[in-house]
Amino acid sequence: MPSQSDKISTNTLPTGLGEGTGWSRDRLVLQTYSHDLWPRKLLELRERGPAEPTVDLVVWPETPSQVQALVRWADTADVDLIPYGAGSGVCGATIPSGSMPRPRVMVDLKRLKRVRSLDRESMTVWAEAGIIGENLERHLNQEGLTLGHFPSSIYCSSLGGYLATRSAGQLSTKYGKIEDMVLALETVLPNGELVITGRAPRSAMGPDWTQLLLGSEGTLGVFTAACLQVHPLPEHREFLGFGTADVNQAMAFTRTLMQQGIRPAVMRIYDKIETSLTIPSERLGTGFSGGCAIVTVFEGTQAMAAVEASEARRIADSMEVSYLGPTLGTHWWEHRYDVSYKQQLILSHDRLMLDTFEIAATWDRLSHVYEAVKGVNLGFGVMLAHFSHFYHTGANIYFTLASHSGLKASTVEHYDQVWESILGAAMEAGATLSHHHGVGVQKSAWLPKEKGAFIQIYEKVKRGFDPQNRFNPGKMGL
Amino acid sequence: MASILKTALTPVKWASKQLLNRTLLRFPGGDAHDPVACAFCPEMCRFACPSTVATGNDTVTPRGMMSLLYKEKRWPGKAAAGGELWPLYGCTGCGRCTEYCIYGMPVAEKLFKARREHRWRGAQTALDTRVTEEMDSVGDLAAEWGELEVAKARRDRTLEKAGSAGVVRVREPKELHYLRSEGIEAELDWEPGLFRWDVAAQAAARERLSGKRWLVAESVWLSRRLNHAADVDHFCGVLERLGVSTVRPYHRGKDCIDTGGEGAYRYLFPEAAAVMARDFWERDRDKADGVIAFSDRAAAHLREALGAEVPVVEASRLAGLRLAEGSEE
Repeated sequence: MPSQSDKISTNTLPTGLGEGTGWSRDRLVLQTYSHDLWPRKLLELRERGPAEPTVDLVVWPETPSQVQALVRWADTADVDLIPYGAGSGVCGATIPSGSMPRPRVMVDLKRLKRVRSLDRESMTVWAEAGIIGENLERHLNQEGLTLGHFPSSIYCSSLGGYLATRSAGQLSTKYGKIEDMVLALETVLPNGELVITGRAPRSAMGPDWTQLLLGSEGTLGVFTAACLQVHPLPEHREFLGFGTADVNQAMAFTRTLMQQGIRPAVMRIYDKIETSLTIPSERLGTGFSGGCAIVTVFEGTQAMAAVEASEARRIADSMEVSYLGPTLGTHWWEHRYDVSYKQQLILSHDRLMLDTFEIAATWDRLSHVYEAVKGVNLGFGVMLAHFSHFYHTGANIYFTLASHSGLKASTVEHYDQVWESILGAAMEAGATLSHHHGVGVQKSAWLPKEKGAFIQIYEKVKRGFDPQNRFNPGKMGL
Repeated sequence: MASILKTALTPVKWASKQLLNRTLLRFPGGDAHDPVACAFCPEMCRFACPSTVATGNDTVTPRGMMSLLYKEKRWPGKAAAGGELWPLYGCTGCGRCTEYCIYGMPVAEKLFKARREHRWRGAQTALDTRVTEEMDSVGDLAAEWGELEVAKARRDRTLEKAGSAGVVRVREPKELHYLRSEGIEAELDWEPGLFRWDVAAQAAARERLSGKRWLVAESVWLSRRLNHAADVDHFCGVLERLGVSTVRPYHRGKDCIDTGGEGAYRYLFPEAAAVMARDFWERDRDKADGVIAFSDRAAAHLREALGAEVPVVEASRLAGLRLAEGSEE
């Protein structure tokens, strides 16, 4: 019986996409593209070994017009398309849904990797969706500029992925999240049309199409490029560390900073457990007496960074928050990506699970959300927490969970149970269930619970964009 | 009371951290260079891999390739289901991933070794054809395979020379790398990083190169195999003293980008290698009029990829400019 992969007539693929370089259905290629970095899939690999591929063809277009041609081809070939960046998502957004009856074609955008143009007057850059974040940042740095977007996955994630998931970076409190950086999206719609969503920093000419498409996780179109605002590289950085007795005092302090209009590039509260397990005591200094560590970094012109840092210290003094000096901040800065390498230490051990959970809530609920999620029973495990993205009206909490599956038959089963519990606890406490990782497969069933009636409206929007439901079907709660 | 508690808990915390470091926070077996470290890694090295950037193919990222070794070790035959592990050949050997890996994973060394166990018929065919076409390259290409007769003979001759001395002294950086990857102690027979001028030919070289700006294709093989003792800055300095105008590439030093011309990669993945060469040139083409490469093969590859419009010269052919022992004249 022919496989789904065999059903695809590759000789009808658009011109310029040759076998091996432009497309492949080699088994090892299909296996690679059958998962992203969703920890559940890694646990499945560890427990069950290499699985059968769930993708039937991978294509690598090199230009927006090739993407357009592919989209039109998908209609005639009757296949589904899943846009793919660097596969660094942690929620399974690129993993084909089980309910896809048509052959599944992964459209890997990484060959669209150019920085097209730089406009120093408007301080914008047009960059293609397949460019890896670090390569874009280095290109800008060579020009004395920065995007200001530093997700901890910057070395292994793509611009298209940022756009598809509404990503956030470590310096977001100053530079904003991806939605704050995008002026326009260049997108191939499911009808094959190439559109650009904007032309000005703001417009009242109807709804904001950029914001509708951002975070749609490949269900409404394929991003081919984006126009982003850029900044001059900062002249100066100030690193300040603070200590508080507990998270409540830390939240009060950071809330005050934000509501007074101070905008640190980096602000991170580490709860007691994360402080004691992840921060070397010599970095905390003698002024730290246990409790929570707070890292802040102010950057910009010499004067601005100094004024904001000075104001932060003044507020800290007035709230009896200990100032720990610059060492904590400089240590964090030098090792800010190291934590990403730690996951394989835990995951290399059988029976252990590791994952992260990022939520956001308004200030009035934040403490309750923190306690509710921390109160979830992980079995034999530990849950760390830090707060890393701040707003005038609230903040994000980033939980790290590591747990042993104990006597359960499978770690995957244990993983599912833990996730059911923490999602339920966070929802009950009033948080949104994703701040920046996105929905994917992991939270797809929870999206209707959080968004209620809007899911039915989204279904209509999806049908309007994609009447044949070819684009990453089965996602976003649909 | 609080400070008493803190003092009492300090040894407990210390002991807990020590236990964690010895159990969970280390790889099973204690080997940070086991392929399992790559299989579950978020792959912070992938932005640096020329093969990944040129092809966009996640199967030939460092993690993609190393994961195959993990899967093959733990579930032999299951990943490829009887097929060949061809992605193991998708590495150029540049080692840039190792530069960025927090564990210093020797990806190139591990993959090159694994190729001896997991042969790829397609590669064999490509290389055999080239072997007959470029006889002077046989030794280097053969070194990557480890089993072709010429490499074995060279290795045997070298070991004979070493005799009971224990350490083999060689002249070629590539041979050094190869022997070390075989676990044989070896060192260069000369001080790396020094360039010797053929004074009599300087005028000819100056005439050939003057009037143009030369983009220096810093070779990953050169700088890494010489343990970074010689790099693009050194070489540019040498040329600039000759009065030649050089352009340091956008990607240099630790970020030295592979142009795809060294080793077997160029023959196994010609389209990707051509993309690497073109990407290298495109980034700096506004600043330069031509390219200087460090080896015959790199130069030939760049000429083929960039076409006749872009002049390419090979460094050691520059009228006597060559790597050698001794000091500069």
